[in-house]
Amino acid sequence: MLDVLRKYWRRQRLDVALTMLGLGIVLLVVVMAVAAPLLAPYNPVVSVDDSLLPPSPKHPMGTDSLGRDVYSRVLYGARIVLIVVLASTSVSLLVGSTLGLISGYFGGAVDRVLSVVMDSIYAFPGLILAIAVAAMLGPGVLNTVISISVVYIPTYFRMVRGHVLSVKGRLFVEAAKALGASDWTVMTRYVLPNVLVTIPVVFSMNVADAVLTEAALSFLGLGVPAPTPDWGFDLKNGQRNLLSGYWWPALWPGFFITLLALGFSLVGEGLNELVGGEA
Amino acid sequence: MGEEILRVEGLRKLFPLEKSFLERILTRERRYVHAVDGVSFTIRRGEIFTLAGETGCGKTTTGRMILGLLKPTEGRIWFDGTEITSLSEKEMRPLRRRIQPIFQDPYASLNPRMRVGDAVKHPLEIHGIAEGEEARDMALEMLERVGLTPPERFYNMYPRDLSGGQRQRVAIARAMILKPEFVVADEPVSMVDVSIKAAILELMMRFKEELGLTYLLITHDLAVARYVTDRIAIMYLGKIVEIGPADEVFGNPRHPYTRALIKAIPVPKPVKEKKIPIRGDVPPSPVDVPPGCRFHTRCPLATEECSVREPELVEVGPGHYAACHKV
Amino acid sequence: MSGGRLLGIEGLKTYYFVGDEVVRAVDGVSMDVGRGEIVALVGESGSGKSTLAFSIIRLLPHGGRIVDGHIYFDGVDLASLPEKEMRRYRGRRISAVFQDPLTSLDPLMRIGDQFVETLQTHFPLSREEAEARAKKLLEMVGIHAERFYDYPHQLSGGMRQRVMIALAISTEPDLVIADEPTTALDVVIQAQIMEIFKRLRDELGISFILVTHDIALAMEVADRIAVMYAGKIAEYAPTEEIYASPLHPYTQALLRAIPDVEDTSKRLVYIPGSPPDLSRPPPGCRFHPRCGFAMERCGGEEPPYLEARPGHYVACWLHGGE
Repeated sequence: MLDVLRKYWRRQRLDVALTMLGLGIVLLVVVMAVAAPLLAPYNPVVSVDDSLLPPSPKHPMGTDSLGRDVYSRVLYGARIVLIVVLASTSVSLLVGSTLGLISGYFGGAVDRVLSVVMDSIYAFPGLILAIAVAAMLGPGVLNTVISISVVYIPTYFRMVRGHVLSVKGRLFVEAAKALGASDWTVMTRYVLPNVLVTIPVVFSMNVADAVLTEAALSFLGLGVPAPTPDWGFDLKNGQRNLLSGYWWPALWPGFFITLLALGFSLVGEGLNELVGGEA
Repeated sequence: MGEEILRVEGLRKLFPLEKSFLERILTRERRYVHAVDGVSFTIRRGEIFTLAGETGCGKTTTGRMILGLLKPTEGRIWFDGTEITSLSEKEMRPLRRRIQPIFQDPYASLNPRMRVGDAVKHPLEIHGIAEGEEARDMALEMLERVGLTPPERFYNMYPRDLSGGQRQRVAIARAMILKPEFVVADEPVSMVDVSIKAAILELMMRFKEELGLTYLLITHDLAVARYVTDRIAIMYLGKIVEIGPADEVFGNPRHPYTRALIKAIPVPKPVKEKKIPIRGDVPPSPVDVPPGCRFHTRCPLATEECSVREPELVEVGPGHYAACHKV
Repeated sequence: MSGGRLLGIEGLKTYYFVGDEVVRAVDGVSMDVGRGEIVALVGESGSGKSTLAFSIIRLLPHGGRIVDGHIYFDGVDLASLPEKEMRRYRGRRISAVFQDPLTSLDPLMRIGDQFVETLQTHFPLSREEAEARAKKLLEMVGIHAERFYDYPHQLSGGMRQRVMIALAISTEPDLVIADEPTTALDVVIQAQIMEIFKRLRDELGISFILVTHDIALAMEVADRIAVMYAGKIAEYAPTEEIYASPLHPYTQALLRAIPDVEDTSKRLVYIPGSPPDLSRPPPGCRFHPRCGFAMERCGGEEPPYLEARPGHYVACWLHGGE
């Protein structure tokens, strides 16, 4: 592990800087989420002042159309975003990877059926699919998690399956079979470890995408229901008064959505550089 | 030499050729690559038997069929009296303890994500011979025996930290830890540096003595084969063209291909001119095999008969056979 | 050696700069190649032989650079030539043949067309003239003229390599650098290609630098052999000398370590240890940790590269030096 890091430091300073930036951003949001109760001056769900007050020392990010403190909402909103996004991408990862592993390793009819199903799902533009599923399931945190996971399962499936196919044919796998290893052993100790390498990269890129999807779902009213603080929801709300000159209820949630997506992207790119050298 | 440990009869392996789209519409027949086309031989306990030939002759495919990694299209294989041709994976498993491979590419035959020690002791775990501390100790001992000292240091390393020669030693350790009876070594030293080749060969020979092994050596390097083998079979386009004791085949080669092959091997001596008695240049493809003797298109001795009738293996010396009309 | 000096390398140093490590791939090499001779650069992996060959035509991979020394070719120092000038030599007066012919030929072009293109780039020839010359070149390397119209994938590996050789000599070069040209080929094709090299040397006076790990092959083909170890030349002498009286312990060890198909009683002796890390070479003679004859001096000082016998150069404390 250490020499991996050491090698990493030797690469371009810019690459390193950008990845560190990404990590910093992610950590910032995590801190916001975890420490929300400590950092938030007000209850985010309740009206605490006049509506649409501009940013001031009392309300650093102003208040929204219902008189709630935007700053507090942003802090608590981080929780929802992180929970939903991390939960859904984890589900996608587990389900997609497992299916990809089995499908790729055993092949045959199972593989053909699964591939067709996955390809069909993959063919849908992610957001449309998420909307369709969310519309079917209705609002709510759990339903949002499910909708988003469905979108990304094929991503992991295809990637893992492709990898498994290429690793499957490699000499050391044949050697393991010649030793007498069972299919299960070959799959888990020989194929899987060699496939896992690229999953972290896909994962972080995935999370970046999921942040945007989650925000979009909430924006459309299909995600987390009011009055739970949610960046996407707040963005939609704030957007209504934008033209009248009230920029702060929309800007702050919008800014953080973009920032978080960017952060995860940078981490993903950085991991890609790191792993790309290793593979 | 002891009794028979491996017998192979009429082994054939045909690989169907992918048809292009047009071909699929226009033709009905399938074309095949005749990788192995009727190979028979036996190996006695305690001997080193070599399957030699150039790329595409079918020696590696034959080896893989013997290891049970590939199912023959036709033919039969017996190991120690038991027919193993069409055994299922499950039935094969107990036999795998007794038949072990050493592969050509030490960079590819080891799992990059498995530590050296884990790789070496894994066979013990697979076959339920030992586990935990006991397995670890056995692995350490084996690492010592193959010359990777101090074994504790190598135990924790990954294949990428080792040189080619060291990786091949690990592969050998892994193969030998089960104390097999029969080892199939496919080009074990062709990807190893010159100065280490001899060390690996010596290691293999040492294990042969200690464990009473029988080796099937597969190689294109006749100089290496000459150094170690008791008997040798020369393959060409999927068939054995000459087979016999090493001294016989090398000392008195009767098939024109064998003669050309032996003459072509570089010898560490200054040489004025080297005439290789082979005509033409392209070896025919293993798909459209020439009629009659496969070698006739390149053979300096070829006559009409050779392009019509395939020669059978005939005895040309004690235990020495060649497949040629002109012998 | 038939016709005077063609290439003179003096004190060449080529290093690879990787991150903050410096790999001294070629660390002070001097040798010469005459007109109409075949010289073999023999060594194991990490010896620097390929780097040396690529330094001559200045085709070093990323991170590699000539840091010192001279490469005199017909009076001009190639080592310090600007790239633009170098292009006049590369492919024209000095050609190269690499190990893998599959990647060197354009798969979408017919063989013949690649020839015509090369020829017309360097010579003022009409299409017919270029075609005729191309077919003649193919015949010279033992390929039927009809193959002119084939695509690379229709030829076997051995044939492709011969096409590469024909392409390499099409510009009538003085020197051809062949880096492991037959390593991926079968022994029979290898022998045929080596005979082609010899014929080209005899009939056209082309010099060859053959880079190989196979010292037996080198001895069968080359007029002179340079044995390299860890970035330096250990020994450089005519083949007969290397055969009859190899002076450097490494050369002797190499010869003892290879099987000889004609000598059945030979017992192979391997060389213990492994080649050094070229970013941190050992002090003194680079071979001393593995040398059976190492003396105290060998670990402290690097031996000078001297002419121990006429035409026979060695870098070893056993054979001269103060």
